[in-house]
Amino acid sequence: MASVRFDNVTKKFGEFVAVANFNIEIRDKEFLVLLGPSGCGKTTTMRMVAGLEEATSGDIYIDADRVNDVLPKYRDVAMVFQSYALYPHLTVEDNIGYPLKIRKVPPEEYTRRVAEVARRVELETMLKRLPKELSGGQRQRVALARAIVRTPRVFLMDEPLSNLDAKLRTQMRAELKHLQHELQVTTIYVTHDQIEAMTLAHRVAVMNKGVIEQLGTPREIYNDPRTLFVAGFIGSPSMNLIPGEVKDGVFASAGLRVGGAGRFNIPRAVLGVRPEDIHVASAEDPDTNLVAPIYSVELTGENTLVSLQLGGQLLAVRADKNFSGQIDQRVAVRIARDRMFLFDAETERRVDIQSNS
Amino acid sequence: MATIRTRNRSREMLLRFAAYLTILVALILTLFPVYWIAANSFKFDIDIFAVPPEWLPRNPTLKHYDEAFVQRPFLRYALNSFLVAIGTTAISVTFGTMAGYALARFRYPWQWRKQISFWILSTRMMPPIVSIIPLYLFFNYFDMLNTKSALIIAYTAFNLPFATWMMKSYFQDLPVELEEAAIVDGDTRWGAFLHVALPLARPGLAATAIFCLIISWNEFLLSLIVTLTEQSQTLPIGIAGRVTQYATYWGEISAAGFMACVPIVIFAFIVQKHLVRGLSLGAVKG
Amino acid sequence: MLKSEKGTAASLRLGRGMEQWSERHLRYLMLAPTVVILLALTIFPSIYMFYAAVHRVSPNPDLPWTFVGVDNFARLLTDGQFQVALRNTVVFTVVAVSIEFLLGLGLALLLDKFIRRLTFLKTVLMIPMMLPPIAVAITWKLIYEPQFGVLNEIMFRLGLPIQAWAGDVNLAMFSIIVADVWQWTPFIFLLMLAGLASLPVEPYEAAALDGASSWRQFWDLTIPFLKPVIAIALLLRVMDALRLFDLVFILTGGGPADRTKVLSLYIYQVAYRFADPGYAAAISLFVLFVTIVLSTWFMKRMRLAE
Repeated sequence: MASVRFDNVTKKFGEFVAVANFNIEIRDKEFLVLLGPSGCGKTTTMRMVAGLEEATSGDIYIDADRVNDVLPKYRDVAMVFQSYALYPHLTVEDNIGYPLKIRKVPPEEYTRRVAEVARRVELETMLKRLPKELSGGQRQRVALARAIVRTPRVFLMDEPLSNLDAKLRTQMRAELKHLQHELQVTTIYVTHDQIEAMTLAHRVAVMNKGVIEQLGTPREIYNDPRTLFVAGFIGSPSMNLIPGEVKDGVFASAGLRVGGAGRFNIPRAVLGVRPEDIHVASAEDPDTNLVAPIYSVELTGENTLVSLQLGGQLLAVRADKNFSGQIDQRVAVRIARDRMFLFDAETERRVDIQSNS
Repeated sequence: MATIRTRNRSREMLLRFAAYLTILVALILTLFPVYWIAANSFKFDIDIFAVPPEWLPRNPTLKHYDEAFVQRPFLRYALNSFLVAIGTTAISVTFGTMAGYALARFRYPWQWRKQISFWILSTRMMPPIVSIIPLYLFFNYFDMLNTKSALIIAYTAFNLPFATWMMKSYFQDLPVELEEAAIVDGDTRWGAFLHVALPLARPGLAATAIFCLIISWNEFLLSLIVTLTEQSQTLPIGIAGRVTQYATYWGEISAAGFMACVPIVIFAFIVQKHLVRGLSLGAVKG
Repeated sequence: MLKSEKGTAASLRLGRGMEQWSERHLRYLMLAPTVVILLALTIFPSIYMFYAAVHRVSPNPDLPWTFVGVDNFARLLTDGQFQVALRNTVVFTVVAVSIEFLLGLGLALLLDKFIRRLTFLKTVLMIPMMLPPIAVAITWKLIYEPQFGVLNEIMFRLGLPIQAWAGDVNLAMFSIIVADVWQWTPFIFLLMLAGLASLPVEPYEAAALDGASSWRQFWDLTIPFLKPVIAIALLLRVMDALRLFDLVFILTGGGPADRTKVLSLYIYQVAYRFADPGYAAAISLFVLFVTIVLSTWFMKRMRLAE
């Protein structure tokens, strides 16, 4: 029931700029994911919403209220910490009920609401236990329950799934998504895991060095990366980025020529192409862009990841699961021209070749 | 291969034997003096002076306890020691906990945190002898000589830095997220300290308090300077007072000395898990 | 940097009225009482002492002080007793702390593996340093007693000459040192055990696989790892040894022939027996100066304040 807006927000720690000139509007009921490598400022951004960090300059709004100078207790946001931050000296019941206790909720209502939330996260039999007697997944649920027990205006989640094992993480991810949909509470979610970002978010803000590189739906971020950073960060295995030169619309680097870049001339360019957009071809095929020796072959199950030796770097190709090449064998590949991206290495921004060809 | 293994095993046996022998010797050396003072406190004077020494009291008696604690004011001294220790501990732990928390958690401008921590530690390093003259003149001026309040004030000078550093080290061990969670959950900064950090630091708080009690209970020099009357003197002064130029009242001081040790030994066992941290002012975490 | 900032974060926010103000200034409010008390108890005496040191002070509070300038400090240079006390203090500190250190470290290395789980025994061995120094002093006085003391009984049984110990010109300092070693070796022992317990296992396994002898492992791994703990232990012991008073006061009273007169005792005597607080203040300032220089140098080097 709330929107969150950052208006030119900058946060410095001494000389270090953690968040620079940050502008974003998170819509009511939206699930927004802040995605980026560690140290990119995503957690700091979220902590400013909670009031755990003070913005050095700029304004932060929750709905129409400027909250820069509002004590955290009056902001009505809830947060799930990476370490869960369960109070080790309190039982599960008291952990969940702590926000209510602080707000002096009467005992009957307290008991009722704690029980209700506990049922929702399937902890009703654990209420009398201490956090140290719970499994990782159960602790995670307690942290969630503590956040939802008072229906806050905004949920903040700081890498809440990163301490769980892979299987549990997938399961909790689905539960989180369902829960957010059910509760319809604006959520800001911080993670460095792109899969989490892609699966959970309505919109993703990819951050790097304190600024937003790109803001968009997961599909836009994946299909339409605006900067070199986003292109390299999103996707697994990550996009092939090959430095070279564009002359008259033809990209050239050691051993590779690809046409179709309009009439552009870019002295320092980077060609970006995802592994799934490179196809194994036969050497006679006129569309073949490249013939190169195989460096490694890795079967992942649904397909085969083939790395080719291309000059000093490796080119990842997602081939069919029945691919049968051997190391050092030479294979020919073809790049899907409509799925390749060109970046200017100077500005690190994408050059829009599709609309210009 | 086989020979090497055998040789190692016999060497290990030898080492083990040496270690246990050393522990035994260390135990005897540690405990004998304590035993000896206890043993002598239960002997008649004539047996104390016996040559060769009487290793076990042949005629145990409580005579010296009667002399010290009934006829002479050692009970009064012990009570004074106790009251002063409680007073200075209460002050030091209360303010030291708050300051220790602040230094463990808050940011300050201009590196204040480091500077103040450092300064507080240096006040602990100050030898008491250098402050006795101003303190004496000060208490004299305000007519506070021979009062327990004077002792409490004087002892706070070294117990407060100690408590601050101890509590700082305990608070630094707690994850800061717990207090942040409390703040987001709707508590104030002070509330997060009171409801979350403080309960979690309780074992450290207890250990710190006990250390303060021990330090005060044992203190001698400041008390020697500041108190001259029976109404205000502490146990160590009382004991020293029976070592005179003309005679040493062995039985009496043994009884009082042994009684002074008893609470300390009990305390030592209560805080055994915290000994290392306490004795290194929080610098080494045991 | 980010990490430490995060660790001290949780900043303060506007609320309502009083709450807002106190939250905002909590960092100062929580620190203020301690800072004020310690300022009053350390800065004030230091200034006062400096003031006293440049005066001839009568112990009678009704008599006026007379300004004498640096006379009291000048006396330090010619006062033979002061120089004796200084030398005794240095000798005591160096010898006692060295013995305690070597003994404590040696015991810790020998017993580490065997005593680690014997918590009760360990605590028993720690008892001496917790005891009131006065109780320790009278205990050793009893042991050293020339006529009926235990030590002379043992000397006699061993066929050795009996001694006056604390009353003997040549043995008095030795006697003080033995009592101090008895009380404080456990301290070094305990800290070294804690240091050894925190040593990582992997480097030793790696070194053993690399063929390093245990002697090499000791010098290349154990000593470097223990360095911070050793530094703290030595700092605290040296500071403690410099303030030695109780043992000397009871065991020897500074005698015989000033052989055990240490600085603390001398200051005490000057101030009270010789009734010259001004001069005592000057000596105190000297001691304060030395300890500040010593401990600051030490703490800065070890970065203890962080």
